[in-house]
Amino acid sequence: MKWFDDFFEKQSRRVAQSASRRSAVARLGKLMLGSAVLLPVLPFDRVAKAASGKPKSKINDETSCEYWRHCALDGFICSCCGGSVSSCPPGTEVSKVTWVGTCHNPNDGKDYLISYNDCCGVTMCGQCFCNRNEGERPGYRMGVHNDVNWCMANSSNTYHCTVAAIVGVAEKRG
Amino acid sequence: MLRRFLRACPVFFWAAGIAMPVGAELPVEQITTMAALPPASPYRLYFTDVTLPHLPDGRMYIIDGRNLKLEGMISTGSFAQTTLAPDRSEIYAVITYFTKVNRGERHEEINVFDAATLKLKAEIPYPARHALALPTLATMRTSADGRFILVQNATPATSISIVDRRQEKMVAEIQTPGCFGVYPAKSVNRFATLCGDGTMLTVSYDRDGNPTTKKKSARFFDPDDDALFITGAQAGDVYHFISFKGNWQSVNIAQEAAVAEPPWPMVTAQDVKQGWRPGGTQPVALHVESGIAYVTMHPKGREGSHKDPAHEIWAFDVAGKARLSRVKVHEISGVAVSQDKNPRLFAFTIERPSITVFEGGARLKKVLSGPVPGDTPTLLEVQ
Repeated sequence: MKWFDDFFEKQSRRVAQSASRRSAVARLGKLMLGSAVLLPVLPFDRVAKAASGKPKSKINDETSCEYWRHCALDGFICSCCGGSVSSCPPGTEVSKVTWVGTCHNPNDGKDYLISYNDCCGVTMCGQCFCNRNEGERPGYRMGVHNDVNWCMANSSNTYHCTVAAIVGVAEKRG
Repeated sequence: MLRRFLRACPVFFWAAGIAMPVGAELPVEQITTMAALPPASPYRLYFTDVTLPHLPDGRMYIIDGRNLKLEGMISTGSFAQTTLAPDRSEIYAVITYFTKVNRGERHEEINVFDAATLKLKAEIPYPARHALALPTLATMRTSADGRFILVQNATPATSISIVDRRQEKMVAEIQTPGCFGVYPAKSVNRFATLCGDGTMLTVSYDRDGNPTTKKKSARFFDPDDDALFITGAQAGDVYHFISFKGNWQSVNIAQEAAVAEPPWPMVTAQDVKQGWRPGGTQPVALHVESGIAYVTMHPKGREGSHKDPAHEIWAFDVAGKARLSRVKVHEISGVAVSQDKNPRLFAFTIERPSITVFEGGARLKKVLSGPVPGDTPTLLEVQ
């Protein structure tokens, strides 16, 4: 149960959300619904503690929930499970559907679209639980929802962990 | 020495068929199963746990809300959604099973449990597409008369199924693209669902469960700027929703298309300055007769804090659109209230599950608090 204790301790986080990122998420949601490419998200949802400032070193540590790409990740970080920020661990398969967040990279000042694919087919990794919800919305915005199991469309629906791969640069509003 | 050994080992004598020596204190017992739960108080609790650390092993705990003692439990397999019959005679769970536990073919069924004996009464076949979601009050409900069970699906394309409890079969599946959540009406065979374009879609159906009309409301909320929580509070044909930023939104679904009332703020300018916002998995509960609602609130709220646990529970007079009181709490993620004359509010934590019990009314008064079983319970219903 160590993960369970750890994951709550690691949930103190906060990243300010800019209007440009929100609008990018909105645009993305419309795009996804419009194209009927339904998006996936992950299976749970955890309660977070009050936010606090985050150390700079963790912003660039892909095993940390504070990692800049993890602004809307909900699940176990694959980099702690034998995978990487963009690769599923051996023996698992990438989810066929996913959901997308928009995260600000403080290193270059740009906002990126991040695909939070789940890795499926092996029981839960249980390491480095992370739950952040910037831009996350309920199931009526399925493309930006993370309270469902995004392994739902795979041959095995068993959830293992989640990656955070860059799929594009978000446009700045205005 | 021998005497001490004999006292310590009655099982040995039982197993060996040897009579207890003269002077033994306890008789041999016959092992039985309790026939039923004790009669329910208005404070019996049904606590649904998706068990994130071991998903194929979900369960619902039945807890006596007067003392937080476990009265029994049922197994609900993987990612089950649950609901109760309106008269609390039955418990329903739509359950996913894989033929090889965590892989293989996906099967689903609705399990019907007798709420008095906790025995499985029926297994209703169901197509393998119910939403593998965190259980909430909006993912599975019944019609007001209990005849139909309404289930949220997601593949991730969304639809809602109407299942006839009596016939034990699914009657209809209504496509609800871009919408999520099941909100049944009280007075008529009808349900509504919240949609990502800021509207509600209302589906009416006939006495056999066949859909008759499907109508959109006017746009009444902004999912980008101030989204509505999926968990609402029902009072007859009216659903009360709260928004991420702390606005109250009532919607009447008595007609073929939902009609929204003007929203009102639960937070003052001072509250906004301090960042007070609602949060959690079950952030609002309403005692219908008194019209008093309870909302889980946290300070320093921001974009993305809508799942943060509460630091306070605020009580509101819904008709008067006014806050009545506030009480400090610790890490509360959801609330449920009994509907009797002496209501009690039950507030739960997800982390290291616990329940705190309050006397209801305009000003909450803490009665007791304690740990309850569970891993990651997200849905609490009251008798």
